[in-house]
Amino acid sequence: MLYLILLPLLISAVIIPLLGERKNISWLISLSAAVFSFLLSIFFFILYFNKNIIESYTWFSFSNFSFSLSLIGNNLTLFMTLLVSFISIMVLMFAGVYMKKERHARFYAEMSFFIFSMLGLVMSNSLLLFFIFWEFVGITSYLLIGFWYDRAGPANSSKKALLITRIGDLAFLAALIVVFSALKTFSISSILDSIHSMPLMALAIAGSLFTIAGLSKAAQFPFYTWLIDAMEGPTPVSSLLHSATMVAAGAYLLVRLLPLISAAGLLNLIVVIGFITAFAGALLGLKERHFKKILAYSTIESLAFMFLAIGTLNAGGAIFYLFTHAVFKSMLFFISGGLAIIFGTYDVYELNKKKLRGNWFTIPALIGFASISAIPPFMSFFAHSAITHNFNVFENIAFVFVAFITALFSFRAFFVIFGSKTKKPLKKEFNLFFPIILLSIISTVGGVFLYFFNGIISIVYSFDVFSFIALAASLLGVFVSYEIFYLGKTRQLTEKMKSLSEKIAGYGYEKFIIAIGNSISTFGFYVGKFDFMFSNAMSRIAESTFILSSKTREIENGDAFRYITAVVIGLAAILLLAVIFI
Amino acid sequence: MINLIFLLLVPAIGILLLILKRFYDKLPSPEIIVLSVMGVNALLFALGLVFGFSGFNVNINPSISFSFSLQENFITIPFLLLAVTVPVAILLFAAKEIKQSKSIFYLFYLLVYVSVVSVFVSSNLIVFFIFWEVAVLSLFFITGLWGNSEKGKKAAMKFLVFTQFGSLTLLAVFILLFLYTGSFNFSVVASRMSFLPSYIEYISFFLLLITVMIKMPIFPLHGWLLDSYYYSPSSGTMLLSSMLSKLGGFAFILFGFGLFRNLLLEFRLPLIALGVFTAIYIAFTASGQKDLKKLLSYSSMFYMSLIFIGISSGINLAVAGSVLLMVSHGFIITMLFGISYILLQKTGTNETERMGGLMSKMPLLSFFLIFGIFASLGVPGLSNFPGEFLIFIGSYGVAGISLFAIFGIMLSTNYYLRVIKQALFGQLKKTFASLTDLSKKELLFMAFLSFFILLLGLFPSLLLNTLGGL
Amino acid sequence: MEYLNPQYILFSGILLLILVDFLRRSLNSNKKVFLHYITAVFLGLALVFDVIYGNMNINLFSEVQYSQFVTGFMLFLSFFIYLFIISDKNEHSVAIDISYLSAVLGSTLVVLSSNLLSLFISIEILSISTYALVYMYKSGNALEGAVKYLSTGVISMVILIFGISLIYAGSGTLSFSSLHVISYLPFIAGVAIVIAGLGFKSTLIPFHMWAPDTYEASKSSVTAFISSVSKAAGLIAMIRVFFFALPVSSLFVTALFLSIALITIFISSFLASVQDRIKRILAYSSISQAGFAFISIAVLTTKGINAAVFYIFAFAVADAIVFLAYDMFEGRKVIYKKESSSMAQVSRIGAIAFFIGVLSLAGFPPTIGFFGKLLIFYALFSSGYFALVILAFFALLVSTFYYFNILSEMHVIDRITRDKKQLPVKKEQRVKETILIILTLALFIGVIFA
Repeated sequence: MLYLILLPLLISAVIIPLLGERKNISWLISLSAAVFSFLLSIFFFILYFNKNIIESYTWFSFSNFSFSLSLIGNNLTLFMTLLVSFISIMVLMFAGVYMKKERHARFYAEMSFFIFSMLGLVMSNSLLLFFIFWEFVGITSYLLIGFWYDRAGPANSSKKALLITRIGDLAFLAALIVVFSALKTFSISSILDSIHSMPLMALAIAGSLFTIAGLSKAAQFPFYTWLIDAMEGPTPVSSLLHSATMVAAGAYLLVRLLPLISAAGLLNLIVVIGFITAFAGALLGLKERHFKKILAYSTIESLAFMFLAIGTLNAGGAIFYLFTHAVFKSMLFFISGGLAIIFGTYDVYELNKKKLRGNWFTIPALIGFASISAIPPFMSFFAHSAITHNFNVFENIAFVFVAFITALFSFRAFFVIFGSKTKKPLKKEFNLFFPIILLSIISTVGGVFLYFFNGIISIVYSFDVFSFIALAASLLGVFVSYEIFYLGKTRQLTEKMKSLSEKIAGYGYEKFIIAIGNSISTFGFYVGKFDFMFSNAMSRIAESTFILSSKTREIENGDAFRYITAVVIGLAAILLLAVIFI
Repeated sequence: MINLIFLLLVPAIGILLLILKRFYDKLPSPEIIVLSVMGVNALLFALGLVFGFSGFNVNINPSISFSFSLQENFITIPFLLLAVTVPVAILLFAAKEIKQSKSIFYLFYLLVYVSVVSVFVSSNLIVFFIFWEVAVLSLFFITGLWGNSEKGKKAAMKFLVFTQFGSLTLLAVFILLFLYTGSFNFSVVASRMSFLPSYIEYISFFLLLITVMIKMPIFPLHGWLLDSYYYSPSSGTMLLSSMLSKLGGFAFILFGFGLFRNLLLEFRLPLIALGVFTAIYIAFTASGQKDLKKLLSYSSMFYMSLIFIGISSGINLAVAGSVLLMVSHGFIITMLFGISYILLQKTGTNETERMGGLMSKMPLLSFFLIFGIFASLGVPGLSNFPGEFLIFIGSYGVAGISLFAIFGIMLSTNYYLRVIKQALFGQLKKTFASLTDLSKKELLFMAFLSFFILLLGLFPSLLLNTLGGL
Repeated sequence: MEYLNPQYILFSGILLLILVDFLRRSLNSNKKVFLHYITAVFLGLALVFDVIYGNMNINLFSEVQYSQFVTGFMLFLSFFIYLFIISDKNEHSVAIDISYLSAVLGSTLVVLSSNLLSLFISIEILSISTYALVYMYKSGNALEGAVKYLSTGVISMVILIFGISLIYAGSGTLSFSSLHVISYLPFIAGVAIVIAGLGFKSTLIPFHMWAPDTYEASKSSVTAFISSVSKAAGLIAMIRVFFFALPVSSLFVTALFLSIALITIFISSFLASVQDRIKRILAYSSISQAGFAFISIAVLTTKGINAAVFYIFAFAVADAIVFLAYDMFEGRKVIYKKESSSMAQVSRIGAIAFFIGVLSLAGFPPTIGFFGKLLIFYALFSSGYFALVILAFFALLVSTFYYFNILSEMHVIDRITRDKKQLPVKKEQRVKETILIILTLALFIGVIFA
């Protein structure tokens, strides 16, 4: 019955294009589909609470291999469907405002399909089904990012996004094949049960491939660059992608396969990558002027936190942080989009000139940025305590630095944007206002969830000494950024920070990626040339024989005497042969 | 029961009508004749699926075991599906493209059609070979006469000489089989394979490999591919890529997997390695192409190399995957070549760099191009995925090296996305301001193919269930 | 009944013609055509009697297993080629009829010869009448062609008789049935020299050189006869001598034959591919066909001989079609490849027949050319010559190349539809086209003889 959750959105994805371009119809259909899914999720969440229901369907089977697709209903997956459908409702409401002037049908069809894929992904129990939805998510996100295909930016960045996530997709595919070859099953639950019967080699290969898949989808270190560019897409898309869906899928995959990853011995690697990403994201975020890109860097960083939790075998922490992050990040995107609708710009310094402080965006934005920096009493403070629970000393120390720098860069954005005081209040549109307020309330009071979250997904948390050191570091970061960016003191330091982050940005990673892409094309060009020559080589050889034989034509020039000579020579040759055989 | 001979008789009547049309002008136009022939055949095929097929046998010359016999074999049905459906779509397209010498063109068209169908159902090796050659010859003339006016002839000649060599090696295999089993009848040959001395088996197997590698084509023997694909008329290219290259795969499965299975298993590692090399090599080659038709030609070869990997692994799972992939690729590549031709007609260029922003003027075409490309890339739910997946699963089990071919898919993603970006995305060029979207006929062409792409993607078991004999 | 053999019929036909011609001087000259009809009737009768009663069987000539078939197709082809020749009304003299009949008689006798002497005489009959045939159609350089043919032919005959005398010296007999007692040395020398003599008739390289010139110089319908019936006779003579008469299975014979066959196939293929004139291409292709037949003879097994006989039949029919069809085009000055686009304008059916004939020569199914090659490869494989087959493949590829060069450059297909305008069609052309259609059908039906 779990497929019922998926049906409304699938139906809406099919119906919307058929209905064509009609005012608001597409929006209504997709929104109501999302609401339906949400209600169904609640229903199943209650129905299947603390149960483990697996529903399996055979897609096709061949010679005693059966390729089955199965859904699983348990606390984790149904919680995820709740989260995804809830955030989707919020995003779709927001989209009603943001996308008013755009063509609707294509956008909402793709959105519905995207949400459908994500819902399917979180419920999949079969890795095959997981992969299918994983691919759907990737492809649809490509189409969504490239929604404004006639602009140069989205055209490039959508390609980049799909290319990079496709690395992960194919790694997933390869891992899937490796796992299936070893265990002859796709079911995640039975795979996790029989990890130890897997050959070590296969385990290592599959584990690393799954990790690559997760990293690339979640925009972690070597792959993060697509996410920044993906900001070229419409803001509702960004907010959906960044909060509960696309990037979260990467973390979610590793959460689901955590025993496999840990058996493959990759946890330390994940932690290291998580720290690298967190530092890099925060530092790069410091120089960014584009509001959405700042948020994107923070997303990268938050995802890195999830990976830290995963790397320390703390699945509950990762999921809880995922939840937290989804809430505040989507809210922040709504704010950025709302500001952009009103002021037409995403540039933080431009926004600064618009004198924003004091309008109704300010408080939610403060809540959002404080959540990024994990400042109590907001939910993310509690989430951080869950993340760091399994950290060892070194990790904790590193995390303190991360906390500092995170607060610094996130509050920089806040202080810059809301730097000057406004005079007149802004108009409140319900579809914009409601999601933002609702989400900010959740972010504020959500900390209490932590205490009964354990009933849903087992989670451990502790407020040890390091979490307070980290808090102190965060506050320090807020203070420093207040000093620098709000009061404008220590300009030198600002410049230094800027040049530092530009140095990091300038280390050419972006260029390196582009260079790889170009060199593939160039290399391909030469291979193509080689192939062309190679293909023609044979005909060349043939042609040269023809040239050779056209020379021999001169032997036969119509002179009868010569013909007789040839006969005699031939006879002589034959006789010679005869003599040899005598 | 539907007798298989009807599948041949109906096109034969069509050919006769086309010839008669020269004398009686009152007959309907060639397109309609061909379309109705293929419609009737498709209907017969559908009926056959329901009621089953029955064989056909007429002895012609017993002394060389030459009998005109037709029989289903273990992989016939999926290939027949391909052979009776794709040409219908190509016809819709050719009707637009071919302007001169129509009745002769359609004569050759029907010849290709009937010979491909016959190859798939023939159970006598001589009959197999006869139709195999007729298909080659007809395509030689299609390429040479309706292709590029300057280079078409040369390309056709190259195609002919290359594939003819492959045909001759296949003939040699058949003769060797006849020599030791005393029959050209497939089932008899199959039952007497143990009569072959081992060195003969090796020789035959390698000769067969040459045939397959030329026909599919696979790395060192693919020299003919680009020229003949590129300089053919687009309908010819579609026939080449969707039907002729599949003949190679069909022969490989039928003989390589069906008869020489022991040798296939013995040599599977080097063969898979060759397939992987071809896949990556050709994916790189395709990445370097700026011309859409060339790119598609190479990409077509890329999928054929995946199929080669699948069959060489000798695992029935992978072979079934190869069959699926062949059928699905037939649909997809036809669609993509169709789109490339439409783009050429509308924009006057084949180079994607010179297009741009076409999506705003041609949303339907763009939709189908993106659809085709994603289908090509093996997005689940579309028809390439089950085939690719089964191939990889099957071949990984015997040779881990086959996973490297996935890198080729990565490269394909790269160049396909480049195509989308350059041709469809971006700002519309001013010169294209007056472009129109797909016509009704073209829409029909696309919808027809998309239907099968989607159907086979969602329900691969439709085909897989017919492959129980593998 | 035993006198109702084709050979007797043909011979009596010759006598009758001489008689009538003698009387004719007093008759009206309009009756010329009447003589042609007599000739045709005799050829037809000969064919019928061959089918019903078989060949003559007297001491120097005896029937062997395939001779009925071979004389049958020879007569069949000769009959239609003759009809084709006489459908052109100009410049016919009875001498042509007589020499044609004697050429046919000679070639059927070659098939039946069971003695080296009778073989030699039959070949001489054939040769001399074909010299005359070549010369008598006074086209531009018929004389030159005939003289070349004659001069090389005479040399070859001398060589042949010398070889025969060597064999006689070694064995003391000329009868095929007792030649197997021959000792080794004269055997080798004899074989070496006899093959040179017979190679002339069947245009094996290096004794082929007269062929392209002569083919080109003579009228194409005559070329059709020379390249099909006459060449078939030469090849059959080889089979008679080397397979049925002389002791087989000598390493020397095999090596010699195979090398000659391969050289013939390859050199002729390459030479054909660089020619500009259609007729020369066809001439060289005809040489290469002989090479293929000979390679099958060269394996000296029953399978090989069967294949060779069938292949000779196959290429003879195809060659006849191609040259006859070309005869129609030649009349319209279609000589070079590039000029040939007007082929289908001359005769559409002719063009199609030409097309199918060339397909058969190239060995494409479902024509008998394919089945001929199939049998040859089968024979080669059963004797274990795998490498040889692969080599032959390459030659076949080259031949595919030049055959299809003709086809694609001739616009055979193109022109069929594109040019609606046809040159005025004469009644005689209809006759020719009918003949071509009948022969073309033979290309498809002939498989039953395989």
